[in-house]
Amino acid sequence: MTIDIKLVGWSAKGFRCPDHEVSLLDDKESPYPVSLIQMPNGTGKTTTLNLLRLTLSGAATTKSPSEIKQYAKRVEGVDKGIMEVKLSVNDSLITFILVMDYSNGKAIYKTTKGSGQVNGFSPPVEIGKFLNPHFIDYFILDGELANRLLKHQSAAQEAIDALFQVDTLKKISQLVHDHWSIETAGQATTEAGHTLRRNIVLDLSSKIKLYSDARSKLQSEIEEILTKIEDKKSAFDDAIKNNESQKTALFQLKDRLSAAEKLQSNLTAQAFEASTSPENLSPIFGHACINLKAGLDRVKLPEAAAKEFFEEICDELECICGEAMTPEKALTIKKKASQYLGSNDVTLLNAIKTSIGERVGSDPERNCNEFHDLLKKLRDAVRDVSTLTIEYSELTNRAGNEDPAIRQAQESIVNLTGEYALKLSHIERFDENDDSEDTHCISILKARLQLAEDRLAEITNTRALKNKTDKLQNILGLAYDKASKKITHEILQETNANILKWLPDNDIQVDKIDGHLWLKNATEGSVGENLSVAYAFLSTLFNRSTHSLPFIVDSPAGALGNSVRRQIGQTIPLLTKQFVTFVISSERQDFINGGIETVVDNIQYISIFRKKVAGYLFEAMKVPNKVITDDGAIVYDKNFFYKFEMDEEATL
Amino acid sequence: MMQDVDKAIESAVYEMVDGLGQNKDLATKILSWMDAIHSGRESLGDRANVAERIELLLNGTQE
Repeated sequence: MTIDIKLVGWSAKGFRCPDHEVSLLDDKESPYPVSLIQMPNGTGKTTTLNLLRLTLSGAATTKSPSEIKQYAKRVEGVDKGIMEVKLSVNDSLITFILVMDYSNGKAIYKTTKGSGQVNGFSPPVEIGKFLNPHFIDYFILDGELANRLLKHQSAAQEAIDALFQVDTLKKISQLVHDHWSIETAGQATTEAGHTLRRNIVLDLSSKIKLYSDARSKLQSEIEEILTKIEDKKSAFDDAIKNNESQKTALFQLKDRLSAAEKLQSNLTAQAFEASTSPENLSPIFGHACINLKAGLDRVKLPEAAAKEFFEEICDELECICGEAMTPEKALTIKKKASQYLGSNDVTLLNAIKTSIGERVGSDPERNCNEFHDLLKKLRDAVRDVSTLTIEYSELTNRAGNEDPAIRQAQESIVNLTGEYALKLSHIERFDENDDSEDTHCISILKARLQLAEDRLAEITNTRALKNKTDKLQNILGLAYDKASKKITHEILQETNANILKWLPDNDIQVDKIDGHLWLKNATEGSVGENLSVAYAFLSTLFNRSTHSLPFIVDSPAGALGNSVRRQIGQTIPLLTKQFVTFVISSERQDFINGGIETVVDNIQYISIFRKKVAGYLFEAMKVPNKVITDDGAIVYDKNFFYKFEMDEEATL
Repeated sequence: MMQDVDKAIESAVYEMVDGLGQNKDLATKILSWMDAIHSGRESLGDRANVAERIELLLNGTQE
């Protein structure tokens, strides 16, 4: 979208310069292509230009109170300054108002667009890149412009970046990198980290497979052994049945042994259960519990104390609120008191006391004696099982000696049982809850695998993000280099073409743009040449973009010789659609007549001076197109412009 | 053509995206974001918007 920005005019009141209002519009209400504003030194030319910069950049809010106060008019009673600048943006009027409050040392802005005014500096977004402190100096120019572009380390590049915003690519690249850093904070991101995590997953997976296979194999073998044992036991029983001399005794003994084993098992369970109660293990615990219960009976509980408090209130003649205590009130207090008396503590303590009574009773010795009796029964049962086992073994051995079939079955059962026990011990390794580094526990290894897979997935995703981030940053970086070089190269070519057109006899060209402008075959041109180069560069810059900006220039010819003045005067107006320049009377020669006036017809001539310059004020009063303010005169007249001869302000 | 992006930037982005074997859509996404920034419709200071734009770019980038 093409943006055409023009300066329409401004007004200044309450500043060090004379109060003045300048309109740059011609009879057709269009800005003049060239406006020449003649102000003697000391009239506030620099102040006016600085105010234009501040008003159009929003930078005044960053100024200190003392800097703000420096703009104040040196007249008593002036406590604020108001600068109003009007721009035309594609023929729409936008007004920026800067108010400097000298008493508070503050600056505020207002912006008017269309029919609405908003507080603050609020340029339309499409021109925001020009109206800021970084760019304003490239179209409201001062005498240092050429030096900056030709010598300052990065001025030319900054101008290119600001106008074309190539560096947005770099900014996006940095944001992409920041995004990656945020997304992967605290995560492993390296290739080595990925390999390590992948190896852990592979190692755990292979271990789990190995151990699971081994466990399945063992399980099958165990089931096979158990089947064999059952078969051998059947064979043994069958053989016993055929042994008439021993079979009755054997079967009887077997039944007794089974019963003894069952009793042993029951007693073991009971003993284990009883051993979990401390009062069974020693009477010391029982006595301590009984003492605790007695202590709880004696303690005065908070509820009782609180209850007494309410009862005592009811017995008083006056309530704590100061009113007389009546029977009705006392009844109500007692009735409501229960709402404020918590009973949880009492319930808990009662539960403790009941539990002690049930578990310990009144005789702690009895619990221990009963537990010892139980242990004695268990010892007896163990002994019985042992004795019966030996007897059964002897009897079966005897039967085995009499019958080889019994012997064979017996030996097979013994061997198979041993084998079973061995296999069982092997398979337990895969099930027992061992959390050591070299564990064989399959469930623990599976949990570790899950964790390792999660961490591998995390780093895998991170690597994918990293690869994409790197690729994207690479594209953005390369595109920045290429675009930047291309724009710079094209601007260099066009700048040199313009220089050749404007200064055909000077043999001056720009060699490269590397931070600043580098001249070919010379480290430094003359003042005029440098100015021409600077203007040619800016002109190229602005013409290339889809934006048209005014050139507002302070004393463009002050330091130039006459011939160069003519060249510059003939050149600058062609650089831009609107050229506004502040000059002093001595700059007119050759720069304006012989320069600007030879290439432009429609020129506006303005003279601004303080009223105290009485001689010219008298002359100004004769001119029809003028504005006289409290302390200044603004005269729109070409003849007056040429008659005005004053470089430095003086009272005539 | 992007209204607020110089043609040199536009061609450079397309060239680099193509040169690095990426889909042309990625260039369009980059330039669309730049255009929104340059025209003032979006700001690089808007963190939520920036995160959304970067996700779009990363989703459009092939590993």
